[in-house]
Amino acid sequence: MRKILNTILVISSLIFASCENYDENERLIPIIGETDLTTPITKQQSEQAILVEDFTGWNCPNCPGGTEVLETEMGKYGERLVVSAVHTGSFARPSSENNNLDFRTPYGDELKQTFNITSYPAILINRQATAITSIGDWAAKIAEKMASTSHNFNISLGAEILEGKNILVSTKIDVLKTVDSELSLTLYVTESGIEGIQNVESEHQLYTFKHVLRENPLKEMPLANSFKQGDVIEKNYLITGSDKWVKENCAVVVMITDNATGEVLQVNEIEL
Amino acid sequence: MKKILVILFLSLFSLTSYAQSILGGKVTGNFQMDIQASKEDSIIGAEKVNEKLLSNAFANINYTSGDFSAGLRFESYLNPILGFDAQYKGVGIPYRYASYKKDYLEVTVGNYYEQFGNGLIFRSYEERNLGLDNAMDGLRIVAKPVNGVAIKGVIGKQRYYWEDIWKNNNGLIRGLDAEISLNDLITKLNASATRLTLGGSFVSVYEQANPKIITLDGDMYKMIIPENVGAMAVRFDFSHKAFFLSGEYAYKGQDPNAVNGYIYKPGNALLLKASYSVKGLGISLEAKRIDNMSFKSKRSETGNMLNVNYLPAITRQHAYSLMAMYPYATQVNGEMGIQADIMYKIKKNTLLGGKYGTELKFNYSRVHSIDQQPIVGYALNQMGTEGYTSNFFKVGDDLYFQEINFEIGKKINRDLKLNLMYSNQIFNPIAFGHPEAENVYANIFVADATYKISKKHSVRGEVQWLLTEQNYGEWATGDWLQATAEYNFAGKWFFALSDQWNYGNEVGDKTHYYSVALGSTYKTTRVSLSYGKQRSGIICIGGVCREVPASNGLFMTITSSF
Amino acid sequence: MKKMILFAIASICSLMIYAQQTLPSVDLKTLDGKSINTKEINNEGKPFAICFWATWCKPCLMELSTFAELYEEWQEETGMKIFAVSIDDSRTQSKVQPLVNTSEWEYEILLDVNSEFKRAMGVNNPPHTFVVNGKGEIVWQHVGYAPGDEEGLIEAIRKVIAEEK
Repeated sequence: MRKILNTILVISSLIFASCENYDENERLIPIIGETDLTTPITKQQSEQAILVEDFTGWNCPNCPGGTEVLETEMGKYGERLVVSAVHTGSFARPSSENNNLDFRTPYGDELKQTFNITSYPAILINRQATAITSIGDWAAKIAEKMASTSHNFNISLGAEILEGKNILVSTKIDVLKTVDSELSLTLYVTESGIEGIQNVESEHQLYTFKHVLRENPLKEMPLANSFKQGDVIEKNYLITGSDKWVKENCAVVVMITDNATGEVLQVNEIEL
Repeated sequence: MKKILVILFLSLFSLTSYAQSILGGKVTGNFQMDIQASKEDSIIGAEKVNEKLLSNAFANINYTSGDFSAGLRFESYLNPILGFDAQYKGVGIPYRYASYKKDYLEVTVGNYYEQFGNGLIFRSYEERNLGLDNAMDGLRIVAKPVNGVAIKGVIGKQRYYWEDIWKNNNGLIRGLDAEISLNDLITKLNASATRLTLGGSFVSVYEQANPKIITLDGDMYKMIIPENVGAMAVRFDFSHKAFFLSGEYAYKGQDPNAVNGYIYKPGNALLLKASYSVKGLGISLEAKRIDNMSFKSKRSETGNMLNVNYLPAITRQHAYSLMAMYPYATQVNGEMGIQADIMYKIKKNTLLGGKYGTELKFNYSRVHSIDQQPIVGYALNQMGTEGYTSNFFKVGDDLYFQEINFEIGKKINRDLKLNLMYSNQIFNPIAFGHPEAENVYANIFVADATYKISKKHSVRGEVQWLLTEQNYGEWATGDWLQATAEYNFAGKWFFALSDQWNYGNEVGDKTHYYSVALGSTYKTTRVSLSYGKQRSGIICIGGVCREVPASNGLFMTITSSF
Repeated sequence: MKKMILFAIASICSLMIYAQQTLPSVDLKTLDGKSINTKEINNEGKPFAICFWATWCKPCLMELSTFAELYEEWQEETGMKIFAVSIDDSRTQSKVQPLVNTSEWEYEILLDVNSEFKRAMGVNNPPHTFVVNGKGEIVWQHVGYAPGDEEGLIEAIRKVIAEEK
């Protein structure tokens, strides 16, 4: 009898203790960038890469020429060159002539302001102070940067689409050399394979846009103040997606930037 | 397959021989086998089945010796007959148990079925014809420390097709129930004409929560999902002479899940039943309100499996097929309804009663939605919020189902029995997952006569007629007429012919769903064989429904008990 | 397929071997809420019948109505008793008592709300009728109902009485 009573007591206390109740303000935890969710790392890095941001617009007649140069360079360097197309400025303003297709983003406009982009096309290499406007110089400048950048970090990536919309990105940074400065991580989405209209040397043509910078970047997420050789930093981020994006055509660009100079120290890209 | 059969036979024989020779225990059991051979029929929409034969089979074997009992069930689905979930495909022993009962204590390990009260927060049961089985696997203790007090404790996980439940992440169920019969407990009240029984139960389900990310007003959030979902219920049964009253109220804590659209609102349910009956007259009344009471041991599950609780439907359960054309199923997210039954027997040797008396039955049921108001600032049922508020006493605007039903049973003379039934039904398509907005209004008539030719030979004829203006194609196709003729040789065999004719289908084919059936009974073994067309439809038992696709071909059922 | 037929035959064979069985022990309720263990079901040494039925089962109602007409005669002749076990669940259980009273059935009604007794007795579908002798052994059973089956039941009861004399 006593045994039964004890058993009942144990079971009932178990049950009483196991009801959870969450007040309205405890139910939803806002996610701004960093999260504790993880997804497996699928893309490794072992070489130094550089980032080229191409400032362009659908109505910019000389831009497709620049894009062609970048395509050639990408073929040459493979994963060592990451390109994104920043549609901004008056050439990017939509009109009925391009079926009102708008690729502009607040972040693109911000970059334009910061780096004082006034003529198109123009590229930023690793976000170093000045933009290079003359298409003829691009290949040489990229080669120069490729040779001069020191290889201090590797960024390995994993990405997953959650609830069909949001993008979870897991990052793993291997520190190869000790670096004593405050660094951050910036993540954004680019989309390729978008059909639209492009002004090609003053003629409106059907065109497939590649590497188009999309909304909702995670800007300068703090990493650390100093990095010792051999450190491994693992962080996970959630990017708010949009139903408009064709996820299979999207890639996430992840870069390490120096807080003091804004310069990109390493970059990698993962396709979804 | 072979291996399992060998094991089964070995265990069967070892069990039985052991039982006979050593312990002198008893073996009982039963088995059923359904075999289907369906061929393609584009008119009725019967799809091509790749396998020549489909079959479901099961066998229960129970062994009892004194205070000890054990048993197992063998099941085989090769492949599952049409309408059963394809996940059932396979062979095995999903159910086995051992139980020991001594004095006031009963302990069961392995699989078991159990129910607390009306089942509003816990019911583990099987409905074989629906392919529904939520058998528990774990431990059950029933204690009766004193006369009139019964305490039950359960812990375990539920069956999920053939999955190894101890390896998956489905929820662990823990429950406790106590029932006190005051009349049995207090000696003075033993013989009282007034009886009162009180009961209460708690159930808690633990399931690990995977992070759920939602977007609200463009911002992203991680939902904190309760890993322990608790539920409680209190009940009473009261009777005084011919009058009965019983009630059960259940409450379920926060349980955002796939069925309720991940809202936090706690659930509740109320079930009230009253009846009064004397010789020749019976009245019963029921009222029910359900508010967000889907309770499963896996929060992402939406089908018929893994139900922790059972929410009975309060509409008449029909045996005639056209009466059940538009079947009602409990709306677990919210419904409120009433049901009234009046049964009356006109006395023998009166004008209306005739020589044998006449039985009259009336049934009325009406089920509505519950009141639902959105939470300020959010859409109704917005994921990640409370979902809605509801005024308990306010009836929702949507009518889900209504039925008015009359039945007359009359024995005309020593050999002829007649049963007449009329039903008027209103059926809300949207509530039951159909896209059409306008309700289905149906009038259904049934006449059923049995004539005894001689001591053991009889014939039965049945005509069913369904009239409705609504024809939405596929599931609601206008008027139907059904005729059945049956010949019975009691204790030996039967033969039946039936045709269900969709003569009023102005949109599609006026299909005849004919069938021929032949059956034989020998003691407890029954074999029936039918050939014909079966329309696609829904079969429901106890307010739980399963869709059955159209088929055309042969169907054989063998059942036996031993 | 072959294996399944084999299996079926084996099952039927075991049926032949084990005819003598007693009632399992399951707790049921009576209509007025009392608990009763099925081991305690008896008819003071005389044979009795156990009929599994449900309010929604047509042949069951036909069976029990037919038995009801003959029940008085049967009882006078043999002293037998019928225990009608309803397997109605909480959906229809409250209709059992009104139906029994309206139909003026004099049987002992037992409620098997979660089909525990049904399972223990190996019942597939109602109606399913058992005859138990004075020693508590199941001596006869029958599934389904067709007019005329009542003869089978009373003959089984008579046989028990003849044997026990």
